[in-house]
Amino acid sequence: MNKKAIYFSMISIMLAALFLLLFSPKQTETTTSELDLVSLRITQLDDFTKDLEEIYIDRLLRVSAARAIDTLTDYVIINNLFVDVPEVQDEFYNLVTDGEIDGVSQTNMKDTGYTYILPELLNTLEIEVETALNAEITLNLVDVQLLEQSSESGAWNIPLEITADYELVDAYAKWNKQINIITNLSIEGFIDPFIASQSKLDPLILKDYLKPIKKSTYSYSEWDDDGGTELLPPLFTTTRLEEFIAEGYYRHDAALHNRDFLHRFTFDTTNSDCCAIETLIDPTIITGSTYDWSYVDKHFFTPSSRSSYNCWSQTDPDPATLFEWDFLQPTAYKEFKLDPGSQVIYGIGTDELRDC
Amino acid sequence: MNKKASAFFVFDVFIAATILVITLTIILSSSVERPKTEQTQVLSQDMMQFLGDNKLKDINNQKIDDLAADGNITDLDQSPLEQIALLYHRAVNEPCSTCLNNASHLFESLTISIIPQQYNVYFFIEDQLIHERTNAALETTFSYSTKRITYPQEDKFTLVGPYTAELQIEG
Repeated sequence: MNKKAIYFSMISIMLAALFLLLFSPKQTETTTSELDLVSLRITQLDDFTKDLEEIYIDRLLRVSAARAIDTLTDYVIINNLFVDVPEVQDEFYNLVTDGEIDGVSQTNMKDTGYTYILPELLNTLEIEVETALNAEITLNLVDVQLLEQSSESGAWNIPLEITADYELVDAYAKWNKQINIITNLSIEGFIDPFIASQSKLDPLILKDYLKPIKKSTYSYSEWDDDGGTELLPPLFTTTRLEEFIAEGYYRHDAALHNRDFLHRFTFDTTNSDCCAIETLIDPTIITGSTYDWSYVDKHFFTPSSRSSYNCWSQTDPDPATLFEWDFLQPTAYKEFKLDPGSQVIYGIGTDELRDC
Repeated sequence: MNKKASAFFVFDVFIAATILVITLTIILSSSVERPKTEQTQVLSQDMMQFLGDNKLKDINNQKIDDLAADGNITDLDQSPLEQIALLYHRAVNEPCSTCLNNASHLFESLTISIIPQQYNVYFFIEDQLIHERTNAALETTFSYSTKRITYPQEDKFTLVGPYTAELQIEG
């Protein structure tokens, strides 16, 4: 009987031993601490790779590309426009990978103590990772491209594509991956290369062509408010048109027949199906006399299309005499003119003018 | 004889129960600190994620509005982390006497309601202390820090950094 009476103690001692074995504080703490450190380290580096793929590469590409676009604009102002978009794309590649055009280093791709050439930017990031995270990373640029604008990118963006390899090595883990990113860079803030280049290519002397592209705040339907009913002021307002000229706004909508941003680097005057943008030349930035043709950018600087302003000349009345531009304010705008098609698009003409 | 035997059983039960209670007490008391440590880690990581993954324009915060109105914030598409690093960059590279102060206030306004007052908080950019909040009553038993690299943009054409931000929380 006495022996049976210690069964409970025996069982409890065995259970206690089992619990201690399973949940021993020292053993658990040590193992967990080691696991925590490894887990934290891997989480930290994994978070970094996410940032690399989602933020850093995209950021580096955008700034490098913005510098390259700006440099290409400077180039066409001094030299000639490019033949076609593929040539622009080639020179873009040379700029972001080597900082050169035609083998000549471009100062715009560098700042004091900073370079915007992609391989060098990646190298800077490698050094920062080593210092901040105590991990070794190798970043290699595989390819970078300036893509043609499309309905996906829209008229106000230029699409960019980058492919890069990276290998991140740590004592506990290793990441080896190739990433491909397609991103859009807004064209707002860039100088229009076509208009900027005209000071060189056109005999006209222009005072200030270096206005950055600004998107018009008016939608197509808002322009149409005034058109289609009356022709002469004050039965329609010209406030929008005057503001559009003064602010140097650009617009994009389905009604336009003009080039997209990338084609403005080239002699190729093909209209864009998806991404045409357009602006009007401010009469106050032109020195010299008046010009008897449309002040829409594509007509103003393209001799072959200037005749479109006079497309009514075969019939009577001629719009040049029909339309009195003196009503535009300020009075410096009295030299401003629009071809009949554009008068409709900019809300100051009747629909009969549209097919002129 | 039966009474004596049952007394042994009762005595045995008490001994067994005592052994089990002592064992469980040892096991449970030894892991009291663990949740606090994990909470600090999660807090630090989440805070850094919040600062780096959101855009200023998406955060409803009076300090952001004030700094934007004053012209100290010009691009609301940047994250708070990028903006704080940009203010640090200006303080170091330009004659900007208010930039570090603005960076500290911006950090404080974004974190004051999220990080409990019981913790000590230190925020650094490139080892420069940007913000410090300490609790005098706290007996520090552990510390956890999260680091994140940031690349602020001054404008469309100008990049600064990379800078390393570090958030350290003590409990």
